Amino acid sequence: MRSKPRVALLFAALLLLFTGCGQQPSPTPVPAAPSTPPAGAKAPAKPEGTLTVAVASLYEENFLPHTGSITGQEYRHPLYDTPFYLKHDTWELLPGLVTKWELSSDALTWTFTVRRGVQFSNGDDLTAEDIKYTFDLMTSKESQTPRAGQWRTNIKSIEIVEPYLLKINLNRPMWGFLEDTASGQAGVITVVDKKYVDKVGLKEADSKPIGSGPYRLLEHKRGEYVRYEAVESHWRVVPEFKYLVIRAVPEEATRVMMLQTGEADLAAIGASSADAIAKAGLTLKRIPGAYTTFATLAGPWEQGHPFSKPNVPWAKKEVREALALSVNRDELAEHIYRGHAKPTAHYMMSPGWKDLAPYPYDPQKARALLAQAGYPNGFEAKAMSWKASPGAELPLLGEAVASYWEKIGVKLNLAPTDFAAILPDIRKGATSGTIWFHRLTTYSDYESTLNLAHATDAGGNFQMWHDDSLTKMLGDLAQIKDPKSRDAKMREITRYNYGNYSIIPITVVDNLFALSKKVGSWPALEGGYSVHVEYVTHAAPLGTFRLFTP
Amino acid sequence: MQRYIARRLVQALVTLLMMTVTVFFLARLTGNPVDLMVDMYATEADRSELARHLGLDQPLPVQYFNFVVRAAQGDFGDSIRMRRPAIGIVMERFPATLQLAGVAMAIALIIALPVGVLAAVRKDTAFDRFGKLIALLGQSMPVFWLGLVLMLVFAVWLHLLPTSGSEGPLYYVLPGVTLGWYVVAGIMRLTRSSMLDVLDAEFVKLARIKGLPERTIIWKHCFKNAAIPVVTFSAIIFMGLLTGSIVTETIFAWPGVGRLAYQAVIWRDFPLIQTIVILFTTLYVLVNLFIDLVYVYLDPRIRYG
Repeated sequence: MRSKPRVALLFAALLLLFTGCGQQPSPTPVPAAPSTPPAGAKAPAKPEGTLTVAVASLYEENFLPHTGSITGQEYRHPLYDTPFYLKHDTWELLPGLVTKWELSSDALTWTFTVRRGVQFSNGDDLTAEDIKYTFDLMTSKESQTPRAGQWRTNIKSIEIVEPYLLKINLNRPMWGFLEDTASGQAGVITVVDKKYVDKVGLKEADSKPIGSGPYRLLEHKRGEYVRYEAVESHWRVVPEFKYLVIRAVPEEATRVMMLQTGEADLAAIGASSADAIAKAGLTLKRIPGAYTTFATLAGPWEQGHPFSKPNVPWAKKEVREALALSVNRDELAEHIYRGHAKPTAHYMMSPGWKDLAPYPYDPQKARALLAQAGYPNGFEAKAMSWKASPGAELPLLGEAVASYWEKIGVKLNLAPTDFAAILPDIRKGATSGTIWFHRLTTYSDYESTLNLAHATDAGGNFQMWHDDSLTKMLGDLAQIKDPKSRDAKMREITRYNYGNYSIIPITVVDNLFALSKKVGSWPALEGGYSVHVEYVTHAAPLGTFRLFTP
Repeated sequence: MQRYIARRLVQALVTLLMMTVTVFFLARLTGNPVDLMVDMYATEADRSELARHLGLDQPLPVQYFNFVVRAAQGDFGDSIRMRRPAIGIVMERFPATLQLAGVAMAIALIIALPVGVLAAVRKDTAFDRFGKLIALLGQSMPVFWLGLVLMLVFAVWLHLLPTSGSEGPLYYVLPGVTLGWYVVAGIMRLTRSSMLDVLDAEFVKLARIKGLPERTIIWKHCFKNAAIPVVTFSAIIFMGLLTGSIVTETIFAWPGVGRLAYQAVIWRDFPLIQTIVILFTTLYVLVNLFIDLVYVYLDPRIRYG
């Protein structure tokens, strides 16, 4: 009799021992699949009505993930599912098509468990093969996706271990990789049906796309709109709106008027239209942290570097501090962004940026610092600005900052230009020694962006700020595998840039959307590209099924 | 006559060829589309590979030669961004621009012709001054402003018309008026001056002496003669509407070639830019050639040296 409890204890111990193995770096909850309601229970709500979203453009109007830019997610995202989702406000990683993920101890292999029971709209089962195929498309030589080059370099191979299990082997650790492939991010993997593409070819699959997402494509009128119909038995979310129409409306004033007449229910707007939206009794949705704006002081690279311009005035820390202190960020946020922006302490929303206070506005101290640095009468400098998307206001911002700096004696010869035209010059160092105004959207892969901005051997060579201390810190960061230590190191880099006035941060800007009275709630991803329109509810929500709300 | 036609055809071909050279090389001065397509992390190897895949790594004269040879066979290349034949993309959008220009032209003629005729008949009266005011407004109001104001009044305030799109007859009204009003001035003025010339003709005096009704004299006899220069001018105007519709198409989200051209320039999508410019140049050249030939046929007195 005594042996039975001992056996039970031994069994329990063994069970604990085996289940404790295969350490996962982060929790991977496996939400339950939708179950059939018991007899007599209320039937699940069904989608109703039409949601019309007005967007600035349908861009390339292609549907396969490797054929278009990231901004294309607005019009084609509803068709697909992605491996992961990000909680719209906390950026917590949520399981999508991948329900479980493990990282090897050397940080070079990710193992993904693929969700079972997911089907494409033509009835094909979604398996690991489709995810691998999508990766292959996105890393192909003709891929236009932003991550194509980076992934071709860093992903060694992808193995299908079992129909619902795959391994991604890396050449070097890619921190932020999972977040990067999530919905709304630059490297989003919108999984395509390999069997379908093999059957009809890439061209037809692009013009008549099949996805596993909560909407299926009904109609595509080129140059005008795409029209979708809800999938009423979707595994992740049954949309509340039966039909989704995404219309291309380039002019913002037209989008505002469409909202006012009821021809549109949801549209991106600029700060200047916010008042008109409020007057019309529509809802203004502010999504904080869309992008930051800043002034790059290009030039002082490490000694001996071919791009180096060591004699520029801002090689001296006092000059950089003076430039940072002479910008009235509150005034810019109020007048250029109509209150839909805030001063920011850092040019990038990297770990630790919220802990820092924006530089104060102190032009008197700025003048004293310039005199101390040997520029009592200021100096002249070449500067550039260009429109970006988002960031159409950057030339205006540049002029405003130039006017602040002129008051302390720094005269900018500001030349508006076009980013596409100036990019080759930036890459080859021809803009070193100039100041330029730019913006940075939220990134999930901070390390890559930090390298791009500060490392001398990065492929992009964006000439933002380089010095020996940063080079060393970035080198240290590349060696750290522990997430907490990595976070600490990135915070150290953020604090260093702040104290060094490496780049002059200006504002962090909100994304603004206007919603019609037909629309209830909408968990739009902060700082991301996708808008998660499949989660938009009616003003009186129907309560359709959703596995989670991102 | 045959020598004249042959000479004009050769001139047309030379004009087209010069335009292909201009658009080909000018477009490439504005930047490299590969830079816009790859992300900031792309290496030089990535950019070179994509450039090679797109055929942009060849020397410019080689690219131009390849382009001309293929264009002569109707192949203008694939859009770099949209990855479909550029000519197919342009022809998808062209009917929308053609329809909009047609409606704008019709609206312009419906307003300008009667106003021009009556302004000439009632010269220096209040109606004549009213006609000049209409013309002045048309020429001075910026198209983007007019379009938005019309949208505000007729769509937002009065709920009579849709704001944008192209789904039915009502959708043509606002963009048609916006685009057409600008050309009302030119057509009205030409009609007026042409009518004034004709009204002074001897045959008109004879018609009056013979006792013909004034309405018949004006509309049946004078207007027909006065319309010749107006018709030829209208053909040129129509081409201007076709190529100048970008602002109207943008404001009203009209799916035409104008909007496509703007997008192509932003993207540095060279095949698309080239196709659009060459298409419109060809139309201009053909229309001009046609008008010149029709003139010679209609009026043998006209010689072009």
